[in-house]
Amino acid sequence: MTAGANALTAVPETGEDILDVSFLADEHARSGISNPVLGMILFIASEVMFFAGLFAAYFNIRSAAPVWPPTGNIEFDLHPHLAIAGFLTIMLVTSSVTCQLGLWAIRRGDRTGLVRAFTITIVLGVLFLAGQLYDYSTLGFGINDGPFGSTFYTLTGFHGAHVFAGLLMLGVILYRGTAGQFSARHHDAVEAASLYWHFVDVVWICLFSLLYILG
Amino acid sequence: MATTVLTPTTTRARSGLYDWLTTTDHKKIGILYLTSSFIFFLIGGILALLVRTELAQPGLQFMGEASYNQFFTMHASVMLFLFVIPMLAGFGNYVVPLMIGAPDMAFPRINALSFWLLPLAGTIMMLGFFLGGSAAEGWTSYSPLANAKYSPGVGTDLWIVGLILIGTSSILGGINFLVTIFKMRAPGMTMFRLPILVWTILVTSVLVVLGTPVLTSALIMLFIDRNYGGSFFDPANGGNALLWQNVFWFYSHPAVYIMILPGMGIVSEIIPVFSRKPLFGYKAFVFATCAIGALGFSVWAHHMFTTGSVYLPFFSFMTFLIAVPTGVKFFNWIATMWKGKIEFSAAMLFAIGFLTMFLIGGINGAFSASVPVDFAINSTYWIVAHIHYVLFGGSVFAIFGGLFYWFPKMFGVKLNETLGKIQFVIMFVGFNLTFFPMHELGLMGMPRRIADYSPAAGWTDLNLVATIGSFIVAISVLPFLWNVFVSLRSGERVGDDPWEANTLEWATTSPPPPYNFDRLPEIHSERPVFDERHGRSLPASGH
Amino acid sequence: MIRPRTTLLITVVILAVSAIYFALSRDVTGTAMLVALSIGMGLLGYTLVVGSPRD
Repeated sequence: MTAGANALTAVPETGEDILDVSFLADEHARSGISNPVLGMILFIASEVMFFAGLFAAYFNIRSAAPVWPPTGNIEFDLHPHLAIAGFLTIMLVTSSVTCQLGLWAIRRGDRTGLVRAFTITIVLGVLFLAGQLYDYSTLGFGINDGPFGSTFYTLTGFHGAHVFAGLLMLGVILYRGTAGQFSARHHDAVEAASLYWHFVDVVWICLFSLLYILG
Repeated sequence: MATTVLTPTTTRARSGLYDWLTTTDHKKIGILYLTSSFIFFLIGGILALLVRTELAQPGLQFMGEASYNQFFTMHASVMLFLFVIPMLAGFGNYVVPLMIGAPDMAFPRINALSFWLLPLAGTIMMLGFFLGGSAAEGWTSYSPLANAKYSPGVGTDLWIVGLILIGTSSILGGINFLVTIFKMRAPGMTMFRLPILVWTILVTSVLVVLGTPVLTSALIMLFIDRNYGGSFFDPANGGNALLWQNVFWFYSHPAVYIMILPGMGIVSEIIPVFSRKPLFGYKAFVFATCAIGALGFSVWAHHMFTTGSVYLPFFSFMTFLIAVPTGVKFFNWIATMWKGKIEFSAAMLFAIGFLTMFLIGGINGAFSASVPVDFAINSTYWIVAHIHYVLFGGSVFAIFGGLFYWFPKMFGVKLNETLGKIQFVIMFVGFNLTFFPMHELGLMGMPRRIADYSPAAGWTDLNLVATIGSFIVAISVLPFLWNVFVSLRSGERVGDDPWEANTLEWATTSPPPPYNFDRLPEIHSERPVFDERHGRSLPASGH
Repeated sequence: MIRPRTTLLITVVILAVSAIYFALSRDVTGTAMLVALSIGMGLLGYTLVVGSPRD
């Protein structure tokens, strides 16, 4: 308590001395990857394991089933939906590209480029979600239609939830970008959000290959 | 400009309750963690007493099977997820930034979020008691017992939601610890100068970050099965009941190490200080910790030996293998005490209690690693004895040791040593009286999770002994509560470094100021405070 | 302390364990989780080593 009280009562003119912990956090601490980006990559590692659980369930059920897709519901054949799912895939991959273009723009200090690229990214992301919902509405089975329905909707649904979360992040970045809060030196949040968006994209490519192409 | 924001008046206006509710200071959050976890420890303890009371005699005297099932389920859930894991995270929160010479955690606001999720999750879990019954299918929540048909009612759903929130809190906390440990170390604090507790928190955090999300996915699938007609775990509907066990134990086995590694870390801080010797084999200890963490992910199916559908030799071998790094650690602890000037303070007594009791917990666990033995003792009271020797004899003794050791740092006053020793003796006796007879009960075939047993089974005497023991354990908590109360009011005031310890947290004041350090000693080894006290600092280079 | 490239060993070792596990048990569930673990832990190890200051 004593030292703390001293530090607070002895307020210097600038007030900065209270927070001056430069002897603890010199450039030593700033080397390597910045804290927010590092935190985001660790979070992505944990998300890998979250999807690992869902994928493991899919493989488990699929390997135990006598035939896959299970018989009894003709709609379980997803190949007629390959076209729309493929189109959605292209949209999501494109959005990853535009996201990266926005990141490169702000690394150069180009704020307009960031805002423009992230606007396109968000539009593509929203269209992806809308397209997925449309695809859901045309499928002839529900989440309660046996293991096929459960795994399909859980995997794609939780991916969709992650897309939605990514869109919220991108929205915040866009808002802050229009407010001019990022620069070539300070844009950790942009780096972090774009990493997350790429991760969501990669998960979708795995899902698309597994559910629609391999069927 | 900044003066207006940071004047002392502004700070004082935010004193008291508001300050505690909104704080992002890792020390305050650490104390919040410890306090909330201790409250859950008391709740879980009361649930345990209810269970033991019912088991004292054959027949159903105090409650029906339905209540009994809820009590043992919630006892385990509260103790594991709301007491042991957050309690150890609380120590990590308080001590890790101090030990590595950092001003705070890497993400102070996420740190506050991690904490506040816990009381919320605990409340949600407990709500079941008031809404027609809590979860009652055991903390492992095996399917199909946990599905909507056999566990109707909202209790299990609340349990799932609470557990997902606790998992989220753990993951955020784990990420925070990892970034803090890797990025916020003071100059000179290299990886191989980190105190052992920091290493154990590091490995624990890796397990949390990679293991917990698997549990989250399992819980979500269970929730879908129960509420939306999913068929992941229901064999009648094309699902697979063993899938739940696979995914659940893929997290819950590493969770065992999440619950014991920081305890090992606490003990590894206490033993060298009160033996007046450096920790024997620092690097061996670090590598053993990493090995336990890595192997911890490859033994999950040893909980499923008797299902008959896992590959037994692989998991049996890996489980025996994991005993090797644990043995290395025991060697380190004993060699540290060997020929040391041992001071039997309360903290040291609890550390020694940890060593002896955790050793028994390790040995009776190794029995179950052997497949033929496990077929005989699986789901008997032998397993109950094992888990309590590990988690109570291990983690809880380490936790009390840590409380006695760091209390002076947190509050500037010592806990009363005599009361601490009395507490230790009562707790040690009560603990062994409760759980040692359970080995014998298990070998006699008494299954776990039963409310009633036949008087002819010959289990009555040992059950009565265990119940008496459990009340002795409960009594042992009273001197501790009294101790905290009187010590905070009029405890012996101490200086910065009352134990003549080794690590950086003792270089600052007790309690430390905001942002922790006004100055740091030079760091040339894993014992910077020891070095400074004895003038062993190497000539400063490059300063 | 450790070179970043060395952390790739984490992935390789866990993949090897998964391969052995699959060869012995033919269990796709566990293998899927172990393979994911090799990615997750490799990513985590690599990032932490690259991201932290050189000692």
